[in-house]
Amino acid sequence: MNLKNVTSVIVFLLLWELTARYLIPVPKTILPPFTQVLWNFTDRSFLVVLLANYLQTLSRSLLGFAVGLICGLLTGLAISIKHAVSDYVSPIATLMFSVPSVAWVPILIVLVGIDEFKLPLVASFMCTYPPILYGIINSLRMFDKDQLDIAAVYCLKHRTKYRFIILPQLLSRILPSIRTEAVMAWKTVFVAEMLVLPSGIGYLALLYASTLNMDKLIAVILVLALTLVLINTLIDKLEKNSSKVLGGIYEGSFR
Amino acid sequence: MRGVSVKNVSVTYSGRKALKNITAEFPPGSLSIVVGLNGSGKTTLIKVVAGLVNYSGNVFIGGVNSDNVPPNLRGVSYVPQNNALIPNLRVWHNIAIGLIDRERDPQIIKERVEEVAEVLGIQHLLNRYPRELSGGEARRVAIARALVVDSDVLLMDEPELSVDIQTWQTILNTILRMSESGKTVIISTHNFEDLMPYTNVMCLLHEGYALFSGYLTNLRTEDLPLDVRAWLGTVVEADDIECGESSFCVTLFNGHKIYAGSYKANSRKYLRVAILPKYVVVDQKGPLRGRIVRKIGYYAGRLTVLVDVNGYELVATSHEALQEGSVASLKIEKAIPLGGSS
Repeated sequence: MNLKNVTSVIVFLLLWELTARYLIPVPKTILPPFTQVLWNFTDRSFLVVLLANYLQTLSRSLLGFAVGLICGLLTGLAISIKHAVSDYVSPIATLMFSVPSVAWVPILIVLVGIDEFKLPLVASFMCTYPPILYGIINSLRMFDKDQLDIAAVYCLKHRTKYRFIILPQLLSRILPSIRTEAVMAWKTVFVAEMLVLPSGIGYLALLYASTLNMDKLIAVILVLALTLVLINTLIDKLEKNSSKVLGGIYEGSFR
Repeated sequence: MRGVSVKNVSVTYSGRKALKNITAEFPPGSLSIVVGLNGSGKTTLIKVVAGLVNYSGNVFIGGVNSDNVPPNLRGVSYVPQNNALIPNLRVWHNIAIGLIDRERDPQIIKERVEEVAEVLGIQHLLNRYPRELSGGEARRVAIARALVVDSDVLLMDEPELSVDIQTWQTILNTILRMSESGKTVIISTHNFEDLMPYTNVMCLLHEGYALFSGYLTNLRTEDLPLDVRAWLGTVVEADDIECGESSFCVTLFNGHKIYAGSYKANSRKYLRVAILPKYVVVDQKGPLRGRIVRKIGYYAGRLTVLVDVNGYELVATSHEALQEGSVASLKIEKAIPLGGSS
């Protein structure tokens, strides 16, 4: 984050503060100033509730995302070994990829039921697995044919071919999808919690909205937004340094 | 030393025949060139030998039928047209990639990588990533990757692409060194002018067919179609050779002395030379006077004429309108000595 980014955030918060306090004549319970929202984070009981629900949302979305990612990668790698399979899997992956992630939630409510563990896990999985698989299939299609030729001529073992040539490039190509889907998994779990679940920060947000606790609601939304920014920044950094990071991992092993 | 034989090879890409019943012999230890216009099938032929495309027919490497042998067991090194360096690996590791499964001792890998890097003058690039290299540097790295494996057969697809003259000279010297060390080198190239003096064998491809394949000593250009001769030129016998300290000349057509380059090799073997159309100009003040124009055609946007000179049909470029049967004078600027001693 550079100085310009920090300045713009400070200006925004300042405007929010001034508008809520002096410019718009609405009660502070409807539009609380920023400092009032911030004050909530000093309230120990609120923090305990927020943290407990936050950890639940985090674990749900992370678990579903991780399972979706691993399954997507494994299926993708299996397809890379048997290219013919891609012709069968590709249309299904494309179809599932085209469904908006949150659209799975109502279907899953019916199919999985209102289960605190299974519903967010499957929702998070469903918004990760198809896009990752779709991304891998497309990456394999766009793979530099000459590099595969190089692998075919110079690598004696399949392991070497995958380790040094195919896998690092595949990962660097699907990192943008991983970033998008990590954010989507988090959002989808939030929606699922808001709609039907009795825990998680989605549930908490709806609870504070229904009791007109606007400062607490905005505090929850702030935490949600900050988490998304954090996920984005982490993957962004990984993406920018992907070739160095991936290369580094592999290089160290044989020089 | 292992040679390469290609017998009745055909390749079809999505219904289009890229190679049509090609038979070619690349003897052990020879320096061979595959020449032809774009789309003639040069790259495909190189890939056939490497085992990278599906083909019908047979490929023999070292006398052994290699049709069912995968590329990594054919004992060939391959330099593709676009280098195909692995972007996530540093130059050092790009060069070493062929040794990972072949050599267990890291010290030997290190020595081999540094040795070829020195030969190609890329020691200072070893810690860089491919994206940090210029076109010429990337080319040298791709060649280093091929050399480090020490295969008997070296396949290069247009090594002259996107390199400057200095880099090309380094590459050419490396190619010659490989050839002298007994490797069978097969190069697909447009720059046959620089390679012809050192080449033994040529495979001339045109629209998927091999118009000629064999020792350069057996190349007769008069039988080739004019659109091929428009870029390949005419092969003629030199009357005499005159060697200077750094260059030599050939005497052609009863006493016309023509510059023939500066080659370190024993120039006595260059009794045959190629006269490339770009070095033959219709010029009314040219020394070869009163020659009859036999044929006229436009190739690659240039007026190309076939002129009768002492029994040879020389292909020349003309900047002035000529008619068949008219009389013209010619100026030959350079002759390219042919290698090809069998």
